[in-house]
Amino acid sequence: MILSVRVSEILLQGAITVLGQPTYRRILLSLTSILLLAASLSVCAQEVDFQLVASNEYLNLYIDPVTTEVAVEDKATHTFWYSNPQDRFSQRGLNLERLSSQFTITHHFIRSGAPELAEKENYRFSTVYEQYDIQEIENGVRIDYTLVEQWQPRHYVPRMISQERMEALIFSEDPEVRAEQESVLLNYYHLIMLAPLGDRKPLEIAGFNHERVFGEYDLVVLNKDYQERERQLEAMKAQVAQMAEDAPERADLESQITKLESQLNKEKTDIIKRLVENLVESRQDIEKSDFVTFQDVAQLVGNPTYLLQKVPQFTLNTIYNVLAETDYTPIECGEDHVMNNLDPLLPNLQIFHIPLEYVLDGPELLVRIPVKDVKYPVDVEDVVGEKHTFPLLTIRVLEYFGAAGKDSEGYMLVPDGSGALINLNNGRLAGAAFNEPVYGPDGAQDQPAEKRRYPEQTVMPVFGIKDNDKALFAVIEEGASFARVRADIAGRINDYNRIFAEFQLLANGRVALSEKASHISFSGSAAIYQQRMYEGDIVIRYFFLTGDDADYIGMADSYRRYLMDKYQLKPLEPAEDVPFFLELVGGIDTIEPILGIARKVIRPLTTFNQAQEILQTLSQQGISNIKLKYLGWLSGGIRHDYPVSVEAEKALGGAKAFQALAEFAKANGHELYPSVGFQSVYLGSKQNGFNSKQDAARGLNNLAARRYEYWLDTFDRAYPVSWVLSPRILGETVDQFLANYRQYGVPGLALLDLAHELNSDFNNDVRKLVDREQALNTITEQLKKMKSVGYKLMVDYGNSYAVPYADAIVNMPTHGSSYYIVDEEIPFYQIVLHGLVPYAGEPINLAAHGQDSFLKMIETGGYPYFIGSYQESSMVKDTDFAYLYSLHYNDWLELAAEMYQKANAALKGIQNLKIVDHRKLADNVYQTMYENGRTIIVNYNDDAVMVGDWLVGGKDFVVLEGIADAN
Amino acid sequence: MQRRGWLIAIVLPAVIIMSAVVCSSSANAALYPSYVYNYWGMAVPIPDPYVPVRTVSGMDLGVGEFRNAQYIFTAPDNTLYIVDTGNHRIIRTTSDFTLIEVIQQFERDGKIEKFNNPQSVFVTSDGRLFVADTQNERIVAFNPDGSFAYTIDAPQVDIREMLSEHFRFRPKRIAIDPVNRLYVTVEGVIDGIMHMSLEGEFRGFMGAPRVTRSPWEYFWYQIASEEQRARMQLLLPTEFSAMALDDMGFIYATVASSEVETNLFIRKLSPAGSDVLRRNGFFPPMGDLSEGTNSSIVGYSKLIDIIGRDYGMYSALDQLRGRVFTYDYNGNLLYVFGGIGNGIGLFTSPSSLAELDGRLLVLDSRGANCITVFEPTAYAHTIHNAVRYQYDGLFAEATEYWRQVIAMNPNYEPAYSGVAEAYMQQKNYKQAMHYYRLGNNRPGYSRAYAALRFEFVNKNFGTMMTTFLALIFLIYIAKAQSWGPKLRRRYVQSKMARWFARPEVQQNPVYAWLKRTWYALCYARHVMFHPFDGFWDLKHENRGTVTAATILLVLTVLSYVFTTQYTGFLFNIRRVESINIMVEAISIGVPFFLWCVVNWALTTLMDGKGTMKDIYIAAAYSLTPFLLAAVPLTIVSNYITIDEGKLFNLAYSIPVIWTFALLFLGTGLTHDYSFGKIMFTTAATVVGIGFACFVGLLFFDVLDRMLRFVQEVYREITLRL
Repeated sequence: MILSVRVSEILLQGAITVLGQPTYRRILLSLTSILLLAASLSVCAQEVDFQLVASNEYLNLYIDPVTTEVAVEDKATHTFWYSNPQDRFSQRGLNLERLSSQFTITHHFIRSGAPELAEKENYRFSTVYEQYDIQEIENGVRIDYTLVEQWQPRHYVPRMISQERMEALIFSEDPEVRAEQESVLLNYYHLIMLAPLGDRKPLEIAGFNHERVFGEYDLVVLNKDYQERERQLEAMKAQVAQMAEDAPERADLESQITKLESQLNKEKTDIIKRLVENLVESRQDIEKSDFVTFQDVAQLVGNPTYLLQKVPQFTLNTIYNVLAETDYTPIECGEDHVMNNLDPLLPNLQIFHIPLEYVLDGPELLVRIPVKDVKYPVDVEDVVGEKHTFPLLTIRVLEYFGAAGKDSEGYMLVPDGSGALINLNNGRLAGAAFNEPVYGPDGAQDQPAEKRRYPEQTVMPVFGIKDNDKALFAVIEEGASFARVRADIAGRINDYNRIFAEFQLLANGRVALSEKASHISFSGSAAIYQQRMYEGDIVIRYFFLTGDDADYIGMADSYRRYLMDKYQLKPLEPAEDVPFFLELVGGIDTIEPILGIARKVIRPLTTFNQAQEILQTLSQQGISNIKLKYLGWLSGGIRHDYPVSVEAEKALGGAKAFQALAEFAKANGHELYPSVGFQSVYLGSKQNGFNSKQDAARGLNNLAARRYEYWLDTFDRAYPVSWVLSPRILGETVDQFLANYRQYGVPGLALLDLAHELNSDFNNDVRKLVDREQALNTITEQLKKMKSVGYKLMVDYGNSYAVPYADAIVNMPTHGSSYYIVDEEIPFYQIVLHGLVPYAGEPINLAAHGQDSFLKMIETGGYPYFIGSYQESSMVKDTDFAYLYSLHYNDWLELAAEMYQKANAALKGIQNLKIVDHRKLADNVYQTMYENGRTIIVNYNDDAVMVGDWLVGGKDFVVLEGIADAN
Repeated sequence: MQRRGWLIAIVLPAVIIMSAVVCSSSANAALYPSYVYNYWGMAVPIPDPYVPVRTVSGMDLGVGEFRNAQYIFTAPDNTLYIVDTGNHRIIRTTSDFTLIEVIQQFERDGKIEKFNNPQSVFVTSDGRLFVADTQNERIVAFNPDGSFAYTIDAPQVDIREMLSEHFRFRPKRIAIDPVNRLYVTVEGVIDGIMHMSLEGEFRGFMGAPRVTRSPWEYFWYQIASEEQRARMQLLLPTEFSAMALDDMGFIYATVASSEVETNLFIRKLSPAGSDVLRRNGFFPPMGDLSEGTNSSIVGYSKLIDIIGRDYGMYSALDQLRGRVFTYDYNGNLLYVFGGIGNGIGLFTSPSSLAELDGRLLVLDSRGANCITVFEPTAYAHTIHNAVRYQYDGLFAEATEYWRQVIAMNPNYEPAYSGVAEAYMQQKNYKQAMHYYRLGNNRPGYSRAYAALRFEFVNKNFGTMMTTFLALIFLIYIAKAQSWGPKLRRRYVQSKMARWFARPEVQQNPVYAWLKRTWYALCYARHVMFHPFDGFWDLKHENRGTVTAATILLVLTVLSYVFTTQYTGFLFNIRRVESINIMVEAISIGVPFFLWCVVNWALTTLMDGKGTMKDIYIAAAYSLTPFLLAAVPLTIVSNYITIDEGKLFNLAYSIPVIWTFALLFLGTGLTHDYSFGKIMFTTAATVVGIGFACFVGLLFFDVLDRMLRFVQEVYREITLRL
């Protein structure tokens, strides 16, 4: 079908030219060609008129060509999802404009030397001016938006306009309307023209050179009342001329004539002055009235023209109100200015071009922004030739898609840690809105210390909203690495609960120019930006869920199927016993004085031989299937050397002992995962050719990024710990590591940071710049590479891009960050991943509540995880590793054995199965159900609860075995 | 999707919680870092002692949001009073947060009266409620049945003289001790806590914060005009920010002001008004030790509330960083938790702290406007048990818990002392010393060591005595048989001596140089004991050489390093790990050379006869007493106790004084100065050194600023272009 395309290609081309060739005349020309319909401002009141643009067997996609909002219909259930709330028209003003927008951009502009943030919604800055172009594409539709500065009243009001054009463009043909218009406009405009002076004497005006400005001509005032009075004057003069010299009335009449004449002259003087002043005000090249010449007013010769009086701002609005009713736009206004030798009003510099695509893909909707077609003004010139750049910082996509009103029931799924729910309209306005970066903070960007304490980061690029019996679930498919998921409840800025993704197109920050700058506000800092934008696409995939599926289980299931399809993931093989995750700490570095010289020495916490002993002891306790992550085995301990050379730490026994351990593990059916961190290069350890100038990631200030320790009490920076490796170097580093690691013949590898940290390299040199999405791709390439060589990989934390390549995940988040706005924290990620990869949460012996941590493990289908050392815990005292308290394996050995037996009893046999249900039964009582019907009910309360016929003890759980298969 | 809705349908309706306690924990990781300070004043991580389990807002109670709520109070009957200041009401709930009543108004003589910004309440053990009705300038007392009893208004005239004319009776906190004494802190009153009878009769002030004035301030105060004095006075005294009774009737009081010395932030006042708080921890109880510099929050802790807890423990709430500090009866910091931020367990502007059923409650007056409930973890339970037994004097039981504490958290140093205590009682002094050392407990270590040494001496008295006597006997024999002269004689006759005596050896320049240096070094002993003669000879008889002087200097530096590193644990208050030989060398070398140079510069102007070389040699030779004493004394320091430390310090100061005396004297003698002139040049040199340091610092400072300026300009250019 053919869409009503209201803006022609050519007109749009004009706008694009502006971006390319920034001279103001061109801008003017192109702007002239953009058709602006002021009438569309009143679109708010219009009915939404959806037209079908694409359809497949599952969905219909509709678009309203006037408001550019879209709707998706599920064909099976005839349920609709709207990009903008359909009942939004009860709202007013800015709120309504926001609710009517499909996206919002934020950009910087410079005000008095400092960058300031501006927001532009597409509705207010593009749609109302009809500056968009709708095209049909395969299975969908593409809309190209051009956002401009918003016109203000002063842009509509011409300072001078010829009578002819006034008649043609402004005055209505309808006499009634015209009378109304005249009653306003003629109050504020003088009608003037130039006529030959002839032999009349020009008016003497102090400081005004008639000869230079008007030459042979004289100004004629055509105002109606003025002319009337002039005629009156003529009449009186004629009367006087006819009168006798000594007529009694003569003196009286003459005084009247003088009075009227001086009055008229004064008015004319004022008008002339106004004309000159007007030129001085609006022309850049005329600095004072002496510079005005005849050329500047030549167009007035024989051409009656309206001249705007000096009017205050509110009057300008009055005039604007009249003009806004007509077809007269700033474009025509600009033309009038040019015709009258005035500078056009400031040309519109802030022009942004944003394309948005909606594509149906099976039962899902893809929303795409091809970032290569996104344009923002770079070095555009203004009237005086000054260059301006308006860096495009972020774009919020479909902010109100599926937004739920204040009467809706349901929740929003936010990807904080393992997942969390914000109930719709929960009224928690005291807490801040949810706004978190996907995949955690960027190591190359300076993080304020206080931000670091929120325990969990976002591991998956998903979000969802359940609104009564329908739900919307979104996966950010591309561009997730620079996205933030934002959610807020109704009541803060309007009556809608909304959740959406915001993409940071240009990372930006401020750099202090002087040490003291942080304390001084004036121009002590400069804004800095990433040197270029991300070059790929932004893609969000929306899933539409109805009925029984419209809940977080349904969302998890969608995401699970999505991951399985995309990465060809297979469920695990059924296994005998559940795995036991063990992390052993090898060496730590500490400073010790040797002959009065403080030196770094490695303090062994668990040597390779001792590790064997621990494995044996655990086996004797009945623990089998151990997945051993060995931390700090590389030369240098936990803060190991730059891993391009691979040496087992000598203090732990060296290479031979390490190999012996590997063989022992293999012989006893355990898996060994020696750990390595690639992205941190520790300052105190061997740099092995690492050169921080070239190989470290650069921050926005173009300095090599470092990680710091912070004091726990003041949050002050204590000392630098490591360089952040540039993702550009990562591939090389991994290659060298793998080449040297092969000699040990260990089939496993634990990756400390590849699934946890995602860092850009904001190098000033664009060729060296690695944006965050590129960094993400680099990391997945490394993972693929390691997989292809045959290594089994254990990852920490588990950002979703790494999970398809992982054979085990430890330290996987089991909680959220306890934000005030959140109502419930759910094991969403676990529901997605159970059966695909074995995982463990936090080490139980480091948990504040060990038993609760164990119960959480049971609830989420994870496996026991302990971290230990052979040496006494006090070995870490007074070192930088004091946070590794309670490590001594003897202290937790029995507990671990007991927990393992319990976990084995509960989770054996379902390791490869999917979680099909999870719900809260009562406060602190949760139920998890697996495919085969096994149901586990966990009670976190101190006291026992009755669930059906089952008594669940305090801080305990029960397993209900396969109550007949429903299918 | 395969889901089995029907099972849930069976299970779901039948969930019955067996107990009324709804609020229990799920294993939340806390949002804040929990920590304690170690001996060195560094914050070290500990397992979370308390974790937030829920929040209680006005909405949850069904009474509408709190507004600027200032106080929560646990009554003796285990009910909770919430003073909702901005809403002018008092809310009472049960211990599991079920609303009991909202007290918004009361009937007095048939008229309804309301509160105006009440700040706190107190409930006596017989159930009488007292409300500090702050803006109404009164305390309202209620009967146990909830009816109005009486009010306590501003005390009458006689005390006006003690107070400024602007005195307003705006009670902030109230406390009533077991013998019915009423204590009131009043807004803007800086004279201390008002002590009244329960009927409102004023008895006096107590515990006025001591105003400290430095000599400098005192000086200014003396010469200031009346007006200036008045202004100064306004700044100095401070008011108590919070007050709480312990079960003995003592008052914990906090001051939230930087005007007061940090160690007086928390006080424990006896009924007589004296401060009886024990400050035996590594640091006095004061909240955070440091103000911080770079973070967005800077300053000392602003202790806004305090509660007394069991076994002499007490907890204070810091409004600035939103933290709860808990100390034991000895003033040891037990744990710190909490923080500022947006999340459960973090606050915006916490105002009050209470303990209810073993849980800690923190009230936030802004932000989320709610009470956060914290539940103790296993770690807190263990540490509480340890403190409890220790408080009761049951050290054996305490030790068991201290051991567990160490297993959970090796960073908590007082726990090691607790374990050491047990070893002491078992007379296992070696282990005791080990643990005391881990606990950085020097007095304890000293006691253990003294006992160990006593035991050793006791056990080995016979052997030691025998050895000692044998030695005496040996020396006596040697003397009697004149072994020494005999040996010397034999050496002179030996081949080796003869070989050395040969002229070609004697004339060998290396040998000659070695010999000369050796003699020059040996001469140091003579200089030490006969300075007048010795320093004269050094210069005029050429008895000293630059080489020997340099050797002496290097040896001094080495022995100094040895001293800093190997002084016994009891006397070494430096972190051995952080010692750096270069820094130590510089700390001796720089003053030494400054002395030489400044002295030379000065004396050339005052017709001193000494050259630079002379000064250098004289100064280096003066170091001998320190050099000779340092190593033996350092070794000795490992074998003595703290009690003997005074003697040790004396022994240490003798060579130091001696060295300085030699230095002053020797340098002067080099210049052939009279005694008076020596004194003068010494003083002048010291001043000169100070001046040189000042100029040096100035120079480096200017240089540093210049470099930084250039750097900034460069940075600005690169960034702006």
